[in-house]
Amino acid sequence: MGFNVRRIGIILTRELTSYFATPIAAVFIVIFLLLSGSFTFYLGNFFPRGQADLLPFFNFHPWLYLILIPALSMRLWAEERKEGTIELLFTFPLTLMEAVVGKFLAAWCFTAIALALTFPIWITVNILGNPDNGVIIAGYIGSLLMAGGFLAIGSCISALTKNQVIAFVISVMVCLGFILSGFPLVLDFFSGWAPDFFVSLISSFSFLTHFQAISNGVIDVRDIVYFVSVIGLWLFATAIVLEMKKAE
Amino acid sequence: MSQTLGMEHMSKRLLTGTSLGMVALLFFAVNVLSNVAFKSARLDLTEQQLYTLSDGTRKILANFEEPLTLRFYY
Repeated sequence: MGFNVRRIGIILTRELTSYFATPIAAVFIVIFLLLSGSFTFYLGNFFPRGQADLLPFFNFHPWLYLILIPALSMRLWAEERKEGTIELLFTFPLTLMEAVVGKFLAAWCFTAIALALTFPIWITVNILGNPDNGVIIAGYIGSLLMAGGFLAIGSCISALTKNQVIAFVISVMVCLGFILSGFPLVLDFFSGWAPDFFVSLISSFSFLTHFQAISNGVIDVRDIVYFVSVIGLWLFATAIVLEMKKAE
Repeated sequence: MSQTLGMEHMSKRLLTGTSLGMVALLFFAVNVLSNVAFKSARLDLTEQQLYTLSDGTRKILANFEEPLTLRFYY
C-alpha cells in the first residue's frame, strides 16, 4: 500500500495551489463567508439573542457544508476520470492510497482556510461581549472535523462516477442522510423492522449529534473517534472504488 | 478467452464488495467499541470548566452515606 508522507505532501501542495490558480478559491471562499456571515447575523438572530457566543454561527455549518462541500469534492475524482488525466496521475511514482489521501488533504486544507477566514466574526463577538473562547475553539475544531467527514464522503462518491453533477447530487443525498440520521426522517425507515440497538446505532451516526456535542465546549474522545473513523472509512472506500474502476 | 475475462471481472467485483462490506463493519465495530470504552475521556475546553466536576463536588461525593434520602418540598 505504501504511505510516503513526502509524496503525499507533493500531491497536497500541487492540488492546493491548483485551487488558488483558478476562480474556484475566490468564488468558494467569498460565497462561504457571505453565507455564514448573513446566516449568523440575520437567520441566526445573533443580535436579538443578546448572548455572547457563536452558537448561531456554528449551527449553520452542517447546512452550509451540505451544499458547498459536495461542490468541492465532486471534482476530486470525477473530473480526472472523465478527462482521462487519472492515468497520467498514476504514471507518477505514487500509490493509490497516497493519491486519495493527498487530494483529500488538499481539499480539507482549503476548507480549513475558508473556515479560518471567518475570524472577523470571532473578533466581533469578543468586542461586543465576553464570550467563552474555549467553547468557540471547540466549535471550530468540531466544524473542521465535520467538514472532513463531508469531504471524505464526497471523495468516494466522486470516484464512483465520471459525471460531476451526479457526484454532486448523490453526495448531497448521502451527507444529508448522515446529518439527519438522528431524526425520525431516517430512523422511521429502520424502526419498523430493525432491532432496537440497531436503530439507536443508526442515530448515533448522525454528524449533528457529534458536532453539537463538541460545540458545547467538551471534546469527547468518542466524537473524535467517530469523525476520524468516518473519514478513514470513506477514504478507504474511495481507494477501493478507484481500484475497481481501474479495470474499466 | 472472454469466459475467463468474465470470471476475472466477477471475482474483482466480489472482492470490491467484500472489502467495502468489511470496512463498513470495521467502522461500526470501532464506533460501538469506542462508545462503550471511552465513557469518561473528555476534554473540557470551557473557560469556567462547566462540564467538569469541581473538587468540592468530588469531596461531597466521597463522603456519601448510602442509602441516599431525597426530600422534595413543593
